[in-house]
Amino acid sequence: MKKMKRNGRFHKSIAFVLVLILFTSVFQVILLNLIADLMKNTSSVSSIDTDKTGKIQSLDVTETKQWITNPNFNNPPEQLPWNWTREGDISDVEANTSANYVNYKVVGNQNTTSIIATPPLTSNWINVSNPDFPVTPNQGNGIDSAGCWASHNWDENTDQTGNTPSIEFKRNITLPVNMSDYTITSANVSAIVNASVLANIDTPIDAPADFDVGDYIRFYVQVSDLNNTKKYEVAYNKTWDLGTDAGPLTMPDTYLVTVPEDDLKFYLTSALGSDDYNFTITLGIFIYCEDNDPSYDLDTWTMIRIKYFNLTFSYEKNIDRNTYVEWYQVGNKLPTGNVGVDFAKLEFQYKVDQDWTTASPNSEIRIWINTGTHTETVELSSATTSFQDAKSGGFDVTSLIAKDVNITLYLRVFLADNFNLDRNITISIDNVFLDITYTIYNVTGDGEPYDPMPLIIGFTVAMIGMAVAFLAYQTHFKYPPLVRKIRSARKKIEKNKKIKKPIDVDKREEILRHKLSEQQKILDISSPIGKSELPAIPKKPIKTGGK
Amino acid sequence: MPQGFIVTKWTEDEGLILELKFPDTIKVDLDDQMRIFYSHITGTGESGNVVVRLVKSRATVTSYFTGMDFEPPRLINIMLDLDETPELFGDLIIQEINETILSHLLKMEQNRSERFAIEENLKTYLNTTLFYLDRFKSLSREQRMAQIYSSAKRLNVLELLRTRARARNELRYHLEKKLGEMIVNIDLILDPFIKTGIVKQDWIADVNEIYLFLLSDFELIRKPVTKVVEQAKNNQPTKEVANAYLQAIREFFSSYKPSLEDSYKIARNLLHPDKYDLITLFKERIFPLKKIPKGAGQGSISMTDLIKAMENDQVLKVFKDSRKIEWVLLLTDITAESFYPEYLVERIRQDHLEEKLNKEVAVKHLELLESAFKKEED
Repeated sequence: MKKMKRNGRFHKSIAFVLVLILFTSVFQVILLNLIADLMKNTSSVSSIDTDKTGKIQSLDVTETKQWITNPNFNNPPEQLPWNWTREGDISDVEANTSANYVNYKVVGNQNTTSIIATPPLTSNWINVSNPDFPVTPNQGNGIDSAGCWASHNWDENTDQTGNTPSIEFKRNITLPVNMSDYTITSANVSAIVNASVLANIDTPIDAPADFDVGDYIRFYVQVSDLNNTKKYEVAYNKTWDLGTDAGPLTMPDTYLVTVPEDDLKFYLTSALGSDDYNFTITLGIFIYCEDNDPSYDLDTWTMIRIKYFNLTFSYEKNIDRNTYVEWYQVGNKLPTGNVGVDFAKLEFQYKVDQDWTTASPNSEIRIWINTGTHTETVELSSATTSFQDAKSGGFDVTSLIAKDVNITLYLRVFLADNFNLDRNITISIDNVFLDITYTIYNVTGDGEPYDPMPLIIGFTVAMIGMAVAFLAYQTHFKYPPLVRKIRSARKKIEKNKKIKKPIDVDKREEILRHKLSEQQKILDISSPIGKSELPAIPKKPIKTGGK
Repeated sequence: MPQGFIVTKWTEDEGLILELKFPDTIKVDLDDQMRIFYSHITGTGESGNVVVRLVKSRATVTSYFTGMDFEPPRLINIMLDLDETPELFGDLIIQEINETILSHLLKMEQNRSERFAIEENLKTYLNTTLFYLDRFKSLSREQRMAQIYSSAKRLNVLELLRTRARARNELRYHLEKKLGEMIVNIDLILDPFIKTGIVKQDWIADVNEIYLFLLSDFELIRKPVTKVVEQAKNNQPTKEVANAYLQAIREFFSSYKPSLEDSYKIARNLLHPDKYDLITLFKERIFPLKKIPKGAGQGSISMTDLIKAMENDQVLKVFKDSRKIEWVLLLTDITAESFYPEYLVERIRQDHLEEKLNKEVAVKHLELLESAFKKEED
């Protein structure tokens, strides 16, 4: 036994050494590469500072330069020094180029989905049992050329359990777009059912001796998410006189009663909340055969059908507030040294391909230079379909021009409202000019080589930490401690052993307190919940009734 | 589907008379109404609830009696289908409906000039309530958990199962002893426990009994709304609203302590179909007050009233920006927070040591807890 334990320790030691060698090798390769890179960068930077420029002599020169390269967008798109980017809901915006100008596209869309089943066919629909009422109609059910059907004969002497049979017909629908980004603007649902029965069905009009609610069929249509956790009934019909001795024994083609359109839109939105593309439609039949005859009861439902179904809804794309798309150009820096900016002016022209939507009155073109935004903006609602100056005489952007950085201009189309858009709208810009007037004064340069040691030490510590963490995980933390405790306790109890030592697990209050403080971390505040402040069940029952 | 509401009152001169019914088409059988009245006054005639099955009216009625001391004594009857029971809805919901009807009736007495307007208002409320009650047939898991907190019987079952696994008959005995009433159908009480997977039933051959094992515990609590907080941190919907919102939730949670009273409040909000729909909606997005999508059943209560009620319960909060646009944000995410009941492992050890728990039951509970933990990890 001792030998086996020694062998076990030996194997663990070998494994430890091997893992350590592996980590050390990887670490050495990474570290050597890093040092080589750092040495290269340091020497390159030092040589530029000392060899090329040295100390700059006094220069008192004032210049005005147009800072934008290719301001008229005349070069072919692939040669443009312009780039574009977007933020927010990036599906809402795009950018592209035309022959002599560039465009921002706000992407709208409109779509209509119709699920029409005249009748429902096996190629799309499947029949499944209803989990709440798992017994299915005993004379059969299915889908044929006339639609969904079920037939049932409840004979009390044969089978008492079949008095609440049900069958459901399901179809999963996949939509062509991500519905989390769309708003349903209209919806309607309809379904036609019929049925035929024998006169042995007992209804309120027959009023037999032990009558309670009577025999009936309930047809229903539900929309739900794929897991059926969010389930909404959108249409139904419950028979009440079908099967009365004096008739009727048939239910003609009948439309189901549907929920109002607003509700239907809300239910569809909610069902699509779990999965942005998919939801499920359920056509259901529930049969209730009441045990209302003390001696013997027989209920015959000859044929029950759902022969037509139609769900049609339209949706428009949501455009999200704070989304933007921008064209930008990274320009040169101002000359190095002691430079002062005297004046800077920005000019550009803009247009739209059609009138801007009234649903978003606050959207605009914003001007950014480096990290600063200009206070004036250009409202999209003022745009026309031919190019016009954004501002007569240009914008004074002097305060935004910074030294020692590349001067980067961003012209940003900023969407400032949440709104629906059923079509694309294109905004274009052209003739972008940034004139900068500056003066160069006296300046000196200086540079120090970069010291890589703190980074190397930090990296070394991190690698050792990772190696230790890896070994600790492999040898101990891989298995959940709680499972180890449960299994150990179960085995001891199975062997009739009494466990005297308490098992170290969190108390209920501790678990809950921990959960609450975890959830509140997002607020950067400490939870005030003390040990004895969690709710306890009252000694007296809840009082039910009026005041 | 629930059939409607019938309110009767007892007068010295005329006996039991009809005061209000809704909808107008509902049939009132005075013999049946007398049966309900007798069920209440048998004994002390104090205020309280009874459930009566009426074959003639083809209904199950859950009836609240104001008591003989109340002037005039009233009966508020919620007429359900024969195959429905009040357990479907929970005590809190029934209590809220009774309170609302009674307060309207009292207002009608006190403000005679506005009597017809108040009655109209009450009928609108009853119409919506019928729709709500129907929606109780398809609840989400979270709502079923809230149902447990809305029923004294279920809350007691939960408390008992938090101590140890219990046989069904033992549970029934405890409930009858504690609540002083007969438990006819324990399956109805256990329904949300089973449907949510909180509890598992299993046959223990050694003791010849069906036992109930708690495998997942929960509490009705409030927590910050992660998505909305993140949006606010990004200055949405506007910088000033975002700042005010962040300040409001920090203030709220710096003094928030879960309590049973608050749990009832949470349960009421989760079980109210319109409120639940709004909560689901606001967990994801921020809306201006005027652009909130219309929800189900929200025909009688204006959106403003609904928001105001939820604001009083500190669920939602309305903020106004500089353009005077009112934005509605979910202040607290009210939720049924599930967690793994690891504390039961120690309780099982202790109960087994003190011989309060049979060996087979202890082993079965530990087995089930182990697989529940693995399932949760997956």
